[in-house]
Amino acid sequence: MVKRILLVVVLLAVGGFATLLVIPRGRAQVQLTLEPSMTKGAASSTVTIVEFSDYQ
Amino acid sequence: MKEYDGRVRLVFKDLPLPFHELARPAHEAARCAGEAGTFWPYHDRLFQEQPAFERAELVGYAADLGIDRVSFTRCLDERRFAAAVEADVSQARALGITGTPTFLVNGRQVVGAQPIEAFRSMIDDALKTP
Repeated sequence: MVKRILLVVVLLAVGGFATLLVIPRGRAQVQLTLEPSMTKGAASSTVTIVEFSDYQ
Repeated sequence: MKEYDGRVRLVFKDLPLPFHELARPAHEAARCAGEAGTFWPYHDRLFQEQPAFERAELVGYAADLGIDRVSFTRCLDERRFAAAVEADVSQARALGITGTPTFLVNGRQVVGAQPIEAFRSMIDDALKTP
């Protein structure tokens, strides 16, 4: 812990560095299109199961 | 689906994998069948017949369901639903989905075929969530 604090102090003293880490902001929202003929069940359903599938 | 009647909706999305060369025409064909009002029977037939998805076979499955052969063939040949299939592929990519089948149960991602009990459990959990 002490070593870590010392490292930060040294880095702050030396300067000339930049934080390159990107703050995660969560996964981007993806708008799913919906083809009515490719759905089963009521639109008012509590649960929606989206299935991405390959016929082959 | 019947036991959850009115409480669960299933949405099918196209994700033809790039190494399945006959998959994309099959997905487009299913949408052509959907336009004729028989998406689900055609969808079931494709899963029964995979990987027999040559053009003549796709047209034959449609004819078996009573879809007009000429209009179905026109739909296939003009690739009427190519962009719609590609839109689904793009949406899958944006979600980080690369394999099939992948399910989203109220947004919760589940990869791979699962036993019915697993779905029942997830659906029951989702139904309990306020």
